[in-house]
Amino acid sequence: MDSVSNIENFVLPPNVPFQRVLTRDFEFASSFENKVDSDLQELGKSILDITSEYVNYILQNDHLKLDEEFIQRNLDSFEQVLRNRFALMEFKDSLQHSKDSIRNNNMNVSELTIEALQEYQSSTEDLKNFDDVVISHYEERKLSQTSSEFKKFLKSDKNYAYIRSISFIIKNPEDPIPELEEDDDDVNISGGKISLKDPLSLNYFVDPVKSSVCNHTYERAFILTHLSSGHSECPINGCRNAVTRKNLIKDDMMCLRIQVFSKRKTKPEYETAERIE
Amino acid sequence: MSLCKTRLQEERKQWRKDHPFGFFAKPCKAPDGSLDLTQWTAGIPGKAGTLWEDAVYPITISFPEEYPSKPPKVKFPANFYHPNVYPSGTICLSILNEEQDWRPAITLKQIVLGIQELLDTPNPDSPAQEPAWKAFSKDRTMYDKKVKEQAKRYVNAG
Ligand SMILES: [Zn+2]
Repeated sequence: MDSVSNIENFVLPPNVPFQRVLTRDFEFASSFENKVDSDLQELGKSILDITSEYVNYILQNDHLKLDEEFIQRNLDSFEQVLRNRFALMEFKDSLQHSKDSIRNNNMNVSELTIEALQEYQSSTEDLKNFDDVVISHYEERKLSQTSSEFKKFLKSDKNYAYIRSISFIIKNPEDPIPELEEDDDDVNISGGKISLKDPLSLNYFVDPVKSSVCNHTYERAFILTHLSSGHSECPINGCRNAVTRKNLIKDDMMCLRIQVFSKRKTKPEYETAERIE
Repeated sequence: MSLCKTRLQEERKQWRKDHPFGFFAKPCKAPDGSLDLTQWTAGIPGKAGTLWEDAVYPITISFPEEYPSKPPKVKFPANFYHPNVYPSGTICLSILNEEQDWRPAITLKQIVLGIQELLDTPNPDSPAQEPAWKAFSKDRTMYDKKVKEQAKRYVNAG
């Protein structure tokens, strides 16, 4: 019969396994990405942990001094980790793009029939060029990326902000931490200094805590005195936010400022409430 | 050391280091000769070019145990002539009112500057005494004359 002879001559179009191979490639790629990403996150976390352990250790040991270079190196490494994670995200995007565009192509392909066999066989091109498709998408995306998108990514990372704050405070204990500019590499130090003194006692901080509501900082014992006298407003001029005991958290950055500052100044006017006593 | 004492010591230290020109402020001596940081006397110079110039007006400042959560009580001498000063001498100023604009971060320097400002810019919305307030709102010639007479009495104060 006609049809039988046709079946005997049937050549499986390469496009049939195409889908399966592709799925496997994507699976491999995505498990690879996940592995790389979790390795990168692990690396980032260990940099973060080392930094915060180091800072805490120094803070607990008054006679020690923070090593600016060490912190800077950690900051640079952390940024590098984020750079790699960013590149990986770009790669993931490219992969997704390629997947989508191949899928879209397939939707335009006619049903698998004997008549359409020719068409199918010619479409193997896509399969051969899969790597190229991904790479070209990746290159395209990379080209369209300006450094400002990476800056945005950097800016959104809390841990990066933490290490960056430490690195800044070590050098400028009295200055507010400048915003990370998205399109500018310059560091803008906004005017005004950060007060290292408690607004209630006007003494230098010893055990600073901040309100998680308005982010204002106070000396722990004195804000507690203020709160226990029936007051519940933040004592800062111009701030009317309520403060409660449970909103108070240790202000690590202020501790750091104070420690760096007190080591720099040996002026007699640097005295804390405790030292007066 | 209590918050009140700690703060007052620091206020004193800062005042001695730096204070606005023409002002004075010092804690009183207790009967036993020691300093009582909760009672101060101070002098507010009238601003040049105003009715109040060439005189330094004496005030007393008493800091409550709950200072700086609560504001200090600030008084001119009794019967001080000013629309916002009660016959007792107590000053009616929003930054000295716990219910109004007092904030624990307001310093002694800011208080005395606020009082100096009040001298020549009375607040017509918070009358505290009849004579000065009436004259200020109805008979400005009379008001000016009285203020100048008062200034003469405090020429060498402080
Ligand atoms: Zn606040």
